Amino acid sequence: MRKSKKLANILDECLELILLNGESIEQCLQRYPGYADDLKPLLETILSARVASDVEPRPEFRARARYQFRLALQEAKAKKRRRFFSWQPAWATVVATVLTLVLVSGVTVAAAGNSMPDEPLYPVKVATEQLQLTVTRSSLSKAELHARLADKRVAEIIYLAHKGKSEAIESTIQRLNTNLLRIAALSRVQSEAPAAPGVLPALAPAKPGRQIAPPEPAKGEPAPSKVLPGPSTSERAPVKVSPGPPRSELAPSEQIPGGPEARLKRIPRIEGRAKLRAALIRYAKNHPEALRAALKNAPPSVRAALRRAIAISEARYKEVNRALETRGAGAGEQEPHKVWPQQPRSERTPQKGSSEPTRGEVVPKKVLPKRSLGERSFQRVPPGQSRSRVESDVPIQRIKARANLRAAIVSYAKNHPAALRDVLQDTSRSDRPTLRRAIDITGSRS
Amino acid sequence: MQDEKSLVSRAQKGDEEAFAQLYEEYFNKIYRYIVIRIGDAMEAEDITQQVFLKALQSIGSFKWKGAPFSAWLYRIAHNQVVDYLRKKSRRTTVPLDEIQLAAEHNLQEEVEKGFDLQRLASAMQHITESQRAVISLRFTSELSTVEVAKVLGKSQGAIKALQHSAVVALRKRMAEG
Repeated sequence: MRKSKKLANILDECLELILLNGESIEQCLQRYPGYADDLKPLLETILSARVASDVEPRPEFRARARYQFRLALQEAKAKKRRRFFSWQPAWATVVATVLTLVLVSGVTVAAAGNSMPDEPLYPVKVATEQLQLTVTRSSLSKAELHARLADKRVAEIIYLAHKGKSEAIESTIQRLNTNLLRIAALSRVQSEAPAAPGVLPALAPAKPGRQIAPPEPAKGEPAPSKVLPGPSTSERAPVKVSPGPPRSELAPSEQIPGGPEARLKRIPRIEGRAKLRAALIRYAKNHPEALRAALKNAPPSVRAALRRAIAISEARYKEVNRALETRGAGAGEQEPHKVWPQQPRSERTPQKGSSEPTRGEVVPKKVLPKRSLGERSFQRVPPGQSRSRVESDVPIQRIKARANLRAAIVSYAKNHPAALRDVLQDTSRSDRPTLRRAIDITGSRS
Repeated sequence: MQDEKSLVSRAQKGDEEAFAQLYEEYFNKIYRYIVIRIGDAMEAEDITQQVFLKALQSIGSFKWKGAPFSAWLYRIAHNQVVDYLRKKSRRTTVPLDEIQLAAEHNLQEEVEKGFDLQRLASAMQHITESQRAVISLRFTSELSTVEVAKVLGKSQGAIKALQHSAVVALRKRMAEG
């Protein structure tokens, strides 16, 4: 045991001399000739084990880890700043922001309005937008504002893509995502009283039985199966969702309770909703198209981020559309009751020569199993399906959840292989087969 | 690298650049330590990132107690490895071809080193966890016995004894091939 302990101490000493002082094994053995037979094989083993000191991380991993660590450093710094202000109530922050903006020159605020994320005045622009959202009261106005902000975010993403600034793109994508989520959420807001100001109900038809067909697609374009149609829709959409025939043509049973004054009050809100709807239809088409156009000329470093932006905008606009449809369907439960009395099915305006809804038409939907056939709100009938099939469909929530899942899968199916392909050219040769396998797997599994 | 004490002090006050310098200094060493310890390059990458994130979160609590900053960092790495090994119920198989060596100008030397590394990695899997920890810290990270003792929370005498038994076991395994 003693010899073992002594040998352990000598071994350690020799290690220090060899590892730190660069001495050779022979020099060490000369110091301790009595232990040479035991020491030599151990020191040789140690020298062969030193090959481990040449191990290095892969360059791609190191670069990725460095980038992520830098992000973490910035996040840690931002958290410290936020903690400093966290004790203040939210209204104090708003008041402080307002006062600051008033004190700062109006020119600064105006100049900030056009600033881009890589410019010094951009935080002022963001703060101004937040303030506008805070002071905007009605859901409709908020939704409109979010839609305009989403448009600005897309322009910023395209600008950053041209400049190759992938980090700034990521944070702008987050803001775009937030704007679009808010539009979808505001679109789902139900109002107890349809006459409540500023509520954003779906654009339900004027009376039961009147069916709104989406605008016909332009020549050469496939017929859309959803509400979001081709380019010329924005002009026609307001017409499609107009309040209905002139007042004098309404049957007495169709007149709004409260009389003509109530109806007149609703017209600006209806027009406002129509205007928002038209804008959203336009954005839903233009934003992904603009991002795809930017992708063609973008540097490789930002392509993955741009693809993410495209996927997010497409998925979120689908959600907005779904929210508007559901809101319309849901509103159909209330509005016909409160505004337009229900008409039995047989009295509804017939379609042109067909008793079944044609592809893409909005028709009354079954609300609850307990209700009679006459009491329906509005639901799109999928192409090829009859109304009776629609009556037996699963509850709305499950449909929405499935649609959300489908949208997420569609977006991942596009993004994951693309992101892997982006990394492929920077990967070492030895890793490429593995990466190609990953690309194949993601492609085939989706 | 600038004086380590001043770097650490600035990093504790929130200086991003100071911490980034510490990161650059120790990144490869920490990775090397972990990959030799667990024998899995992919897992070692994840654990390495975890180590530095953890260090970032807790740098405020670091105090100079006679041990260098590296000992504190290796301590975090050691704890992360222990946590990882606890979750693994079986011994790790070694994806030897994934462990990357620094490029050599001489191809033959590079190939030979690759073989040596394979033999070492294979032999490392057959020694105890404590022995593996000492080998990794002493031979790949070149910490002194005192520093290794601080990292592993043992006495210097215990580290020397472990080191001796580790080298004996390693020699036996490597000789067997």
